[in-house]
Amino acid sequence: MTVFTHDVVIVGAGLAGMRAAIEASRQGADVAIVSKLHPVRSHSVAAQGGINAVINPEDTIKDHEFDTVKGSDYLGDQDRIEVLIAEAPMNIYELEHMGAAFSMVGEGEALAQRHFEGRLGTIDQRPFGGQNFPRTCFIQDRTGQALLHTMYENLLRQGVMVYEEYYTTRLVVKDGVVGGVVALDQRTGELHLFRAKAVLLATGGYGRVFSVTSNAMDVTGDGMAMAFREGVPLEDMEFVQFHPTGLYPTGILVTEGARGEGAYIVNGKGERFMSRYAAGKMELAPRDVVARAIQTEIEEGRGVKGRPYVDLDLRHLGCAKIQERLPQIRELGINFAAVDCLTQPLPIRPTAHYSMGGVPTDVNGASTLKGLFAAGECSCISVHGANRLGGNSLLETVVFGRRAGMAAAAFVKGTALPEVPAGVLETEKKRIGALLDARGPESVPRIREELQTVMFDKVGIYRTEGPMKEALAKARELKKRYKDIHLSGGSLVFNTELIEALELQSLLEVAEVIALCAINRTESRGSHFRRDFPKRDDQNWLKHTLARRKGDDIVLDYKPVAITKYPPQERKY
Amino acid sequence: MASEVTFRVQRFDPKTDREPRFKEYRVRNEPGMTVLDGLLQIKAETDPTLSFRRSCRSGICGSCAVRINGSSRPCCNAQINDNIVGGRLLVEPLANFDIIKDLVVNLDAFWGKIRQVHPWNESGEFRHTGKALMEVTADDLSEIRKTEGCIFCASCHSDCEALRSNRDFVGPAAIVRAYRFMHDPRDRLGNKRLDELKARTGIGVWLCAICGNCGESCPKLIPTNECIASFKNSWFSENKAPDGLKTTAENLEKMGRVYELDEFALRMREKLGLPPLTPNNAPKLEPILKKKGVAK
Repeated sequence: MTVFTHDVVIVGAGLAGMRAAIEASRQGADVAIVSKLHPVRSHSVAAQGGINAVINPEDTIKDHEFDTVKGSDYLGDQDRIEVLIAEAPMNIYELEHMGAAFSMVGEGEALAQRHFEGRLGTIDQRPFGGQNFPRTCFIQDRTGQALLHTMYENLLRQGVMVYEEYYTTRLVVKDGVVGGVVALDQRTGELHLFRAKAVLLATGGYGRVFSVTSNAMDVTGDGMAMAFREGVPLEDMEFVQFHPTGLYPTGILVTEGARGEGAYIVNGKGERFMSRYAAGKMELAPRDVVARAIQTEIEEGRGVKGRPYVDLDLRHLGCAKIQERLPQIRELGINFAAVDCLTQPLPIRPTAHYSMGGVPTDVNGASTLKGLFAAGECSCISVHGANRLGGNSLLETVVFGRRAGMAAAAFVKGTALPEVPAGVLETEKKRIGALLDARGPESVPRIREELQTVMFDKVGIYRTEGPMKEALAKARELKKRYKDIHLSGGSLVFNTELIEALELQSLLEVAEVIALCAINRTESRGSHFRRDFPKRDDQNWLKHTLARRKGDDIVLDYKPVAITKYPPQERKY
Repeated sequence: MASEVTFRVQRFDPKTDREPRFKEYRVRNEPGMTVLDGLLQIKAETDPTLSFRRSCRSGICGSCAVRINGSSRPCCNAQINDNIVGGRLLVEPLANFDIIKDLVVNLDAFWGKIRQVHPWNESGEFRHTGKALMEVTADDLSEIRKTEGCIFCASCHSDCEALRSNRDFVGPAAIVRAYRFMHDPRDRLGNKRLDELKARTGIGVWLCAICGNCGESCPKLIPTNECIASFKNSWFSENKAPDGLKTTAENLEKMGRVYELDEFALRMREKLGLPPLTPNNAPKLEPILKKKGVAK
């Protein structure tokens, strides 16, 4: 048990966490990252399609703003969306200066013709869903991987301290001020206290609440849950994005870039059915619209071969285009579905993908708890509202990661190191020890699986009050059963059974909030679709949900949406 | 459809074991299941104490590389049915690393070597505004694309014969990373990165024996050998190769052989009934050496 002290402790080492760390360090703060994974394993690595920015003279800031606002079904805070979009271009060029090698206009043709002399000076952009201009910059179909590696390498260059494979078990708060975190070094099994003047959460989403998800196994909502336990509210948690094209059966992501490049979605009868749902945009309607269309086709028996999937057909794109621009998708199809998309369509269905909700922050990442900041998917600024546009999340990580890093560095100047509750490390050690000694009849994997199944089935793409109430009751029952779990005990060295048990606490916490917020919102907006309330209701529901823990209860509250330039209209594609 | 397969998995708990041991598990094998699926099934249903790294389960995060029947690769995209040998499947931790627990190895040295080659764009620019995008050629980009797909899974290190003989060897992954930045026209670090690889004679690039294992184990099909050879070739042409190799090259140029044939060798050949050799092979080799830039 050691006590480490830094100015700023950042929990999580994905794009947002690392971008924040680099910025805070550049501003002179003593920064450390505490991450349960090595930085390059973070889930930002799995982002495929791209990152949006207005860098083409024919595109306009206003169009990007409007597409984002409309995509959010008017729930996004427009003053924050303006910041996101205004700062997008310079962040793209900054990434480029850091070393990212974006796909360039003419790259494919030049390589195909073996014409290597020409110079390429324009970043290429592809069309993405719900946008009226091709403004998504990309690095083949592994944009997240390339950007995450670039960010990690700049983190090394900056010399930021990283505590790798340290699982943060709790926030340390005293008298309404955050003073650090407690984290478990997985390699030794030792628990350490990290004292800090500012803590920045960049822990990502909670995709593993659902049985079918594109998310990595580590995406378990830890940061949201630990803030929530300390009384920090969570905003708009009912808004869960289901990505239309998860590979069947695993739910692994097939990029929206596939449709951006021209792929068709086809049902079991061979129909390009999007014409019935969004004739104007077809496959490139926003994610919520396409996901519901696919789900409807499947539920009404028009899946392929009577199975719960439809086809994503890339064959007409041709071999050269697929190999140049979507090489990873081809590899995924071959390795995980035994389908070569050059010759066969890929089986796909919607998959839980992204959390629009999270820890509410201001435009500089500051939360409502003094000293606590948040950035990236775990935060809710809110720039995505009820539905995020593809290509806006990578953008959010760099724009608001940078801003939060800068704000945290400014905050710690002239701030004294906050006190921490006496004996906090010992208390936490006892809690972890008790968990390790748990010898009840219940199993962690079984509880997890039951939770994931009920959440996907009943709080998924289509929602109705009755089933959602059943899901909430089930989540609460599982929380009770969790008290009787069984662990094998033994050594604490890389004890992943213990880590999974801790992660399940986060999942249970977050699932209850999602279900409760979804039951309460009696309208349909963006990703939240109520069969019993199929219309958007601006009169009563043009507002953000805030959930807060009060003892054993969760209290819901609401706050207004910031509307600057774009008054709500009907959302049609 | 479903069948059973035996996973023979190496276990090691530093608190109780002095040596790694093996444990066998029966796994329900359904078509399409990956080796990672098998390990997850064991952990969820049979033995929760089994430790291994995993995250994205889609072949991109690089966490889950292990040795399957002796060959290293991420296990999330390895189909069980492609890897059964005699009804069994052998799973061991990556080689050339110390084991932390079971299939989890200590990768500190791996990351340290990556750091050693300054894997970043040292353009001196870190600007938040301005559109001074450095132009690149398609040729530059093709070199970057060829190598930037590395997911740092460390399979190449695990299968590397040079690392097996000397763990200080810089290893294929760091060389590939250096190659990627050396071919980035925006980078200004240039020779400093090279010096890092070259100065460390004995453990730098030259220790590679070009066995080709790294390229074979690479899940992203990166031409690792080509990268390593390109460094060797460029230094050789700058006369910066180790002395032993320089002598070899001189011999090739002078007599068309890597070493001089002495009386003893010639007598042995005769005794073994091998055909006589031309005293000097150099003229035949000359065009090749010239083409490769070894001879002037």
